[in-house]
Amino acid sequence: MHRFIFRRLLMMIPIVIGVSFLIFIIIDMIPGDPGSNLLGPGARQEDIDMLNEELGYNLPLFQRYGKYVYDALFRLDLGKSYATKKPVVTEIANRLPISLTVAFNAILFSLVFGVPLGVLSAVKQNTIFDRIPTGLALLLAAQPAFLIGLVLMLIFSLRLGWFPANGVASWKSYVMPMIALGLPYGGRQLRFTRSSMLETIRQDYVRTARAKGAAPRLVIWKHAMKNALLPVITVAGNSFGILIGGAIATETLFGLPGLGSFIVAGIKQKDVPVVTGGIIVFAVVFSFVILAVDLSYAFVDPRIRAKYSGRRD
Amino acid sequence: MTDALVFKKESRLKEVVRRLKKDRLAMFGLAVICVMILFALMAGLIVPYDTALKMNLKLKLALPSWAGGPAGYWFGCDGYGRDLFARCLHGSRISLLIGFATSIATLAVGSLLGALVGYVGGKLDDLVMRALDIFSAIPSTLFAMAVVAAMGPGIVNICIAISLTNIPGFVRIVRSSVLNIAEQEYIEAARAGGASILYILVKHVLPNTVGTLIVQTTANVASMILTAATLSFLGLGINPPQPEWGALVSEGKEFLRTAPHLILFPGVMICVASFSMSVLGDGLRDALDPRLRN
Amino acid sequence: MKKVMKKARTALLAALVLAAFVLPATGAEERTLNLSTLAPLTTIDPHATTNIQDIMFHRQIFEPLFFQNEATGKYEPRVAESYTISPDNLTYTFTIRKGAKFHNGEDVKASDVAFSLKRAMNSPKVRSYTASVAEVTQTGDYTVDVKLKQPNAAFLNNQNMILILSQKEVEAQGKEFGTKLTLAGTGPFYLTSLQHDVEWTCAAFKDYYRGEAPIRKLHYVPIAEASAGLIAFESGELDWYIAPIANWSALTANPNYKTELVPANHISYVAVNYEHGPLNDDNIRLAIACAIDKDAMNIACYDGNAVNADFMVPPQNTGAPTKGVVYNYDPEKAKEYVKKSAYPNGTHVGTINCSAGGYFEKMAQVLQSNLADIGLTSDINRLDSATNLDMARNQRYDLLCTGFSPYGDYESIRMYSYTKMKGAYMVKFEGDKFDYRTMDALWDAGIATTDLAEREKIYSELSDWIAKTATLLPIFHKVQPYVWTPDLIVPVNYPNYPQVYEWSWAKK
Repeated sequence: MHRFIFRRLLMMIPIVIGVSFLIFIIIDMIPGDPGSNLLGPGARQEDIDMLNEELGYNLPLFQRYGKYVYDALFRLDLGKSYATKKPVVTEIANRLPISLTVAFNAILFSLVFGVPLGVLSAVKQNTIFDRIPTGLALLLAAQPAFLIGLVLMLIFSLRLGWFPANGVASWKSYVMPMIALGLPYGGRQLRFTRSSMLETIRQDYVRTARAKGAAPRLVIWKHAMKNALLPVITVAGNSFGILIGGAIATETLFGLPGLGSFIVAGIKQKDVPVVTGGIIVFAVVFSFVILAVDLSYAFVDPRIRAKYSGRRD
Repeated sequence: MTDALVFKKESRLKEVVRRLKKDRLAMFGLAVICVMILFALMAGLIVPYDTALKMNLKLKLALPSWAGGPAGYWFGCDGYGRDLFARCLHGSRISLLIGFATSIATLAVGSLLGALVGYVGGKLDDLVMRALDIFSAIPSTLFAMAVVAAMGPGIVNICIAISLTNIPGFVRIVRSSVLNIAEQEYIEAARAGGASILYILVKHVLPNTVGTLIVQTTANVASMILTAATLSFLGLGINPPQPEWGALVSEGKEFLRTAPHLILFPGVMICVASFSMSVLGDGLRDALDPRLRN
Repeated sequence: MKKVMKKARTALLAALVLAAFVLPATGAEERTLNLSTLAPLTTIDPHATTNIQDIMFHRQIFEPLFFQNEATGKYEPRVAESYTISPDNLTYTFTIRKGAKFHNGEDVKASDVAFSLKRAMNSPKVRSYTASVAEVTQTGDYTVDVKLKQPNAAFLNNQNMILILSQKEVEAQGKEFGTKLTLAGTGPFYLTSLQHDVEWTCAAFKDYYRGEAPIRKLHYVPIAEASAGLIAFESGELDWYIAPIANWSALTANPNYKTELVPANHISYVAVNYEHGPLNDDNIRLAIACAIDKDAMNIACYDGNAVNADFMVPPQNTGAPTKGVVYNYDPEKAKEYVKKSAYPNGTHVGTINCSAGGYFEKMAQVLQSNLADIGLTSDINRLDSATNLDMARNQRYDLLCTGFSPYGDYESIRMYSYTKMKGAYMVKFEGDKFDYRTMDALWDAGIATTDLAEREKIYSELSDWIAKTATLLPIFHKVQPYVWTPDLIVPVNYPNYPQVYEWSWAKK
């Protein structure tokens, strides 16, 4: 087991290097240079060149990348943002907790309403208890996040005055983002739980248990749930990973200084250290989440645990 | 018992179609999608494309005709006084095109790559899977955004960007089902018989993963339309004034409180398309999996 | 029941105790003014930004030597109390106000002013405002001489953009200045906390030489989404806001809010790249100039509330022309121009570039529709702002919808045409097509002339020269839809930069 975890941690190194290289190349392909971008229209070429030189942007791509990797590996320095001149590491350290909080809340919310309704609609398949939640789930999953966010704001900030429309002043600020993100993901979670549950219910051993006369409720809770929830964990883990950096529209709308909007601003300004650093951190967090998901599998299923302890991943 | 006997005599495809036909919700989804595609194909015959572009700023944000707006504008007008019905109708062409084209591109590239690495295994498998690990460690929206920013806007570039972010997941699905199938006896037999890799892949391996693929693809169509909408929201969608559902919704965002019909109609379109594709996908999955029959 | 009563009583008591602590702090005097910007602060170093969102805030904590009032165009003394100009118009001698203090409590000295001006001269961001300065010398404890390379009629206007900093505070922070809390300003407010992407706060500076500001505390938050910002305002989270124009009529109709539309010091225009294809044909460019329906653009972008523009700067700018060559919407004339041109009806004139997210994409769509009306076709390329800017600079556009905030003088738009400003201009006049030397000479003459009437004449000529090329087409001056709570007294809403110092809370 320890060897398995160690191996997985080692594997993150090539992933991080690959991610940083890929991002470096893509950002380089975006037209323009940070100098002209930061100085805005009306700046002269000589000032732009001067700023680019100051930022080290006049060097060839590979030289810049080499320096970046060297600094990152040996000095744990991800560079400074071209735009704000602040160290990327501290900017990310400020933003990551917010992104993690938002993503965690949203996933929790999506599980709290997605899983029970999913189980319900699977158990009561083809009844009204199935149709209404699944229909609702499909409806929610088809809404762009910014739309749900705006509507929530109109209701809870403007009409009711329960939650602030903007900022991260208190726990209240996190409620609407949680719902705005959690609703569509909860819809997906519901559908996934339902189908996973249906599949498990029809497995032979559940049928056998039923045929042997076990109470239906017992069968569902004891046998089916455990197995049906395994894929649900994966989906939740994946969604959590996606949400850390992918909640861009919601972050922008609610004024949450998270990782996603940080990287988007970086892409728009060709701020290479911001984009590369941000996405590296995202990749690392994502890898840890996936590892945690895999480990939770092992925790639930002894067969998988045996496999991890064995020769291969 | 007799049912089971009949099944065996029928071919697999017929069996699937028969089961799908019994699923009323899935058939409804299929019908809606077909109607939508038909309307998209004939959009030019119903309302000329020029109508979707014709501005009349006197009609800015006009209400739908049935809600007291000017006659002839069933969905009202947008922020430029353009006919919203014509824009939604012609928007379906681009939205459905993005949805289907990207799904099919993902399906083609993802399944071939997945089947290949799953079947060949060894170093190639390791190499490709590690490369895909890199791709999937990058948040998909951000990746698509960066790719579009680098390549410039336009339908083709947007399709490429969206497809790229979805291929890794597809490869994994196909690879794992190929790994399952490849261990089965008849494949071993074909291999022993000296058949080429490509032949075995196309003839034996791919047909057996077809179920998983179809389900995943139908689910993808809806999510791809939504991804395009998100890109539009971030200002990286297709170029105006071409109508696309996602772009129409994000254009309407600023008028949410003053003229909600601008979001309502394209929003409903996205909902209906995504709902139909999802129920169709669910139905197909049930129909393809014999274990799931009632 | 008794228990419940007891609990309620305890709660009431607790609330009263709490209120006793909290209430005095929220009394009318000490009430915090809540404001927002559209973007996080990029820096608090005023020499390191030209971003309008940054400047809106910087102007509350930093000041120039002389402040140009945006509404009147007049100069008001700030850090300097007076200035003299040498007879050859080359040396400005500023006398620093005795009693002006930095937020750290120290007096403003001539050395600080010299330091600030020299610092600006070396900063790529604001260097252009000091381009005419040869050297800055401290001639006494409270006097500074600024020597110019050549006479510059816009020098006072330029120095308005350079804010004065404390040498000691800036040097103490070194390279980190701009990223941390600072007391380097002289303005009516000083920073009390700073999280540049979450919130930042200010307090009134007690030793401010014009007297302590009536509003004692400011709280800023960045809100990128205008619709979200409006909801924050309506929910009471903000006291003053630049509202989205789409909601304007609902806001003006609401008796709970005060509203005012103020034309911004801004110009939205269409740039035409005359070097590309059909656009090289004078008649095609004239046709485009006459085809543009400024009213339609105004309605699409600002519900008709913007001010249609005849010239490239709003009238309150020094030297702004009042009459001259102007193109107005005349589709018939435009069609005649197309007929006179070497190109047939249905000619594709190229791609209209615009940045995504703002109203420029609306301008582009109306332009495309206007061109279609006179039989010219075009495409639209909507780009993120960085790419858009890069393509414009490198002359990789055919038509461009964009905008710009002048800073108080016609001279501000020199950068868009002067051929020696490589990289800055949108239209590259240098070449065989136009007599660009005449234009360059007019720019040089305009700045060298100190007599205002004479300057205005030169700029009228310049404006006509540019208009006749039909390459820079002014469309409208946008408006600022200001909305604020009636608790707040705002004597004047300025075109671009609010002066919070003048505001106060209404007496109840």
